[in-house]
Amino acid sequence: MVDNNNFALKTNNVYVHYGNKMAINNVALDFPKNEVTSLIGPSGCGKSTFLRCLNRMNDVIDSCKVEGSFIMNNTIDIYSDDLPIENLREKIGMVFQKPNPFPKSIYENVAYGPKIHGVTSSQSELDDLVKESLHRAGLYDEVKDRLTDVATGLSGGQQQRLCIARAISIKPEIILMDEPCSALDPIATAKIEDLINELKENYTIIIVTHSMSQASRVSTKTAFFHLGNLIEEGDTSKIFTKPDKEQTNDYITGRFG
Amino acid sequence: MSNIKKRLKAERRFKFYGQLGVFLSLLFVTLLMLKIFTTGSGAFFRTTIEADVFFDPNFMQVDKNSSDKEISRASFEALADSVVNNNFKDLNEDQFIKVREMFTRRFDYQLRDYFLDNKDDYKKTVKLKITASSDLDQIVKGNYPRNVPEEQRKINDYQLSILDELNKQERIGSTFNFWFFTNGDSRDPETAGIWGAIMGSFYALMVCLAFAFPIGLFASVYLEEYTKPGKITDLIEVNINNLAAVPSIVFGLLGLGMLIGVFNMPYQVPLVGGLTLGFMTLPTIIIACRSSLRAVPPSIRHGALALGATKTQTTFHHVVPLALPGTLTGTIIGMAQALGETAPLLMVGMVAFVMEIPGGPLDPATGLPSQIYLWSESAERGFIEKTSAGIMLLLLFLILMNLTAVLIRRKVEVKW
Amino acid sequence: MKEHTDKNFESRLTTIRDQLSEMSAVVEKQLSLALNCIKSKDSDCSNTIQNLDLQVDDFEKAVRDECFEVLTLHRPVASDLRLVFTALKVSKEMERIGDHCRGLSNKAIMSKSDLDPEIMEELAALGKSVLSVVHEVFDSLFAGNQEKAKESWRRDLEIDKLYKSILKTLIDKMEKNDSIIETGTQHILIAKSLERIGDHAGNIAEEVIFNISGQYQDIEKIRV
Repeated sequence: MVDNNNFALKTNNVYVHYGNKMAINNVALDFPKNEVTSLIGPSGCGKSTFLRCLNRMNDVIDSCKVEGSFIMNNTIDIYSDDLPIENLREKIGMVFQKPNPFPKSIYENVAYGPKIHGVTSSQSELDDLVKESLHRAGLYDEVKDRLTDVATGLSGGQQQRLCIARAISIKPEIILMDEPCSALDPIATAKIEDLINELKENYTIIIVTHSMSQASRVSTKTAFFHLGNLIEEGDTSKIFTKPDKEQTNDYITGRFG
Repeated sequence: MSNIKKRLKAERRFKFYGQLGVFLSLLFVTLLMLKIFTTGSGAFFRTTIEADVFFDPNFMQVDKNSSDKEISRASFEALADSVVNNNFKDLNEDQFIKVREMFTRRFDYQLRDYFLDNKDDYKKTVKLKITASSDLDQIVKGNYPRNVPEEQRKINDYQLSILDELNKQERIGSTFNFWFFTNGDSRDPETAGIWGAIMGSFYALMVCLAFAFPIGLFASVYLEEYTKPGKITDLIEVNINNLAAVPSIVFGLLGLGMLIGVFNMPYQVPLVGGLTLGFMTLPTIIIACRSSLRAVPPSIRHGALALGATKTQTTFHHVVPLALPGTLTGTIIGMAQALGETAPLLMVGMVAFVMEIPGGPLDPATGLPSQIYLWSESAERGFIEKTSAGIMLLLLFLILMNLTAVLIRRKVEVKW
Repeated sequence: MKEHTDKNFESRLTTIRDQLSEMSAVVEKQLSLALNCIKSKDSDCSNTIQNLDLQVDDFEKAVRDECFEVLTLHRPVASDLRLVFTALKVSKEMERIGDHCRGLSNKAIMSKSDLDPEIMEELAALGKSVLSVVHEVFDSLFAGNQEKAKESWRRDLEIDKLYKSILKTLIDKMEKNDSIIETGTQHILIAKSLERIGDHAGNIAEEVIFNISGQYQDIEKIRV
């Protein structure tokens, strides 16, 4: 069951527009700390757009306008002018749909974040940090003998775990995952899902997925989006047993009309 | 079913046209290469006349103990004359002049250069192979016809008889003409070399690279990564693309008017030539660089930004290194183009007769294609083979540069 | 509710519903006949019930197999999952009701008719009550009516009371009159079967409430 009083991130009155087109219509959604929340919904429903608001990746898109309140840990306003985006992204990391390791060595990939943020003060500290991140991502044993090999030589599943290691190397509080398994085969997917289960001990995870079964396996809270609106949110087991809204029931049972 | 026969026939026809095209192109290229090679290969050899050289103190102003400086300043003309007299006895004045003409006008320089390295041969006699004059050289090589009336020949009958005599004595030889590669330009074809032009082009290209590459790179990065799409950016892009198609002589005018006219830079130097070529190559580099930057997938940028990298860190740690091979390929191709350009250099004076080898970008110089042009314009027959040899060298450089570009491209592909 | 995009899935769910519906009709018929059997003691009655019972068994197997296929191949969630879950449990309960009908009809034709008319009337009343509850609960299942299901569940109390009363009466009578012990015992068993049918109807009601609300309710809370 979800602990209702401990939220890593609270959002309210969120509106997102691309030019004149509305992508997110008045969404309020809270994310419990150290839990996995999944965002589900059909293509174009806005779940990825909403996710990208949380680490301000939408700022990269010129025509995108974001309104609303995003408060982290009850104190930090994500969109405040006082908070540099680079610091925000140190606290909120992201893993993308298609694994995107840098075409550098495995070591360099994981070390990049700590280097630019100046997290470590010596080479050996950095080495330890890289090792620890790879361990936590469940990748260390597979790559420990070839840390200098180029990252693009790894398999898809390994590359995605590398991206996860890269994200956690700067010790974020929240990890955003945008359909992290959609480019992977079932075995790689299962490994990542298992990893997510372990990671939630230390991080709050918000995952966008188009696979309902993944949402039901992996998350404790589920939010259903449709055409930019948040239709329903609640405990995953309730949503998958008896959702309140017929629209939700129709979507998750496969009644797409 | 009948449709398939038609289609296969069309397929075969198309394949045939392709093969025919390739074959014809290869044929023409081969013919061109053959022509150039046969004409130009002669330039790599020069005719020599073997003569006994007695370093007679009576005709020398220096001795074996003189310093290099003194020897360089001394005149060896008298010694040269004495060598002629020693090797060809009993010549009257007219004959003497004719025989002397059979040797290169640089006879004295040859003797001096030899003496500089062999001071101990003072008062000794050595057998030296003296370079023949260009006219003799051309007769020996068969480029001048022998069996025409004397008025139509550069070599008169008397000289021909001497030549035949020398041939009988087996004193006519041929040696590899490394002077072609080490000397600068000269009024005498037999001593003319291409090194001056190579160095001139080299300095010009270095200046061009040093100017155009950084500016091109940073301009592309700025236009591609930092500006927002809009009317002004579009205008700049259109202009840059158009600049790449502007005739190169216009850039020459720019160089002349702005660099020499407004900034009072010196005339005829590789610095100015290089900057002019730089103006010309800049659009090519920018276009190559922008296209390489665009080829870097957005996912790389997103990955870096999501880690908290600033825009500049993302651009210079990740995007630019990935775009660099493509940019370099474009730059090398641009350099190869610049190497072959004559018109811009014409306007800033780098198409002129320059004898000295330039020591730096501020010394007067000419460029490789300009040198070839100058030689092709010369009346002397000896320059014909030099022109072709120069073209061979130019083609070699162009092939090497383009090959480098191809190899870099290959390496890039494997990495991704 | 919209239709499934997967037509295969949709048709399987429809099959399950239809089979359950037909099964319930047969079971009601069985129960009706069984009650007649108690009065008439006609062996034809009993034979018919036997045949119907075979049908019920077939239906139960068919529903079970279809539900298993759906679970394997379609991984149902939410309303579909509740439907399959309910169908499995309810078909089992219906099958048990059918068994009880068969059992009590056998006992009915085997027993003699030497009991007091009042007892027979009480038994008939019990039977009527049970039939009515079964009918109501089946209605609530196919109509998706939670209130009706709760009502049926509550009425099970009534059935329990009637049963206890018949039991007391029969025991009293048997204590006073040795000769009717055999018949009396058989009719106790018949009454017991009816009471059990009432329990099964109550179980079905519980499943109906789960199917509609997604939660199992506490029987105490319903009955208050």
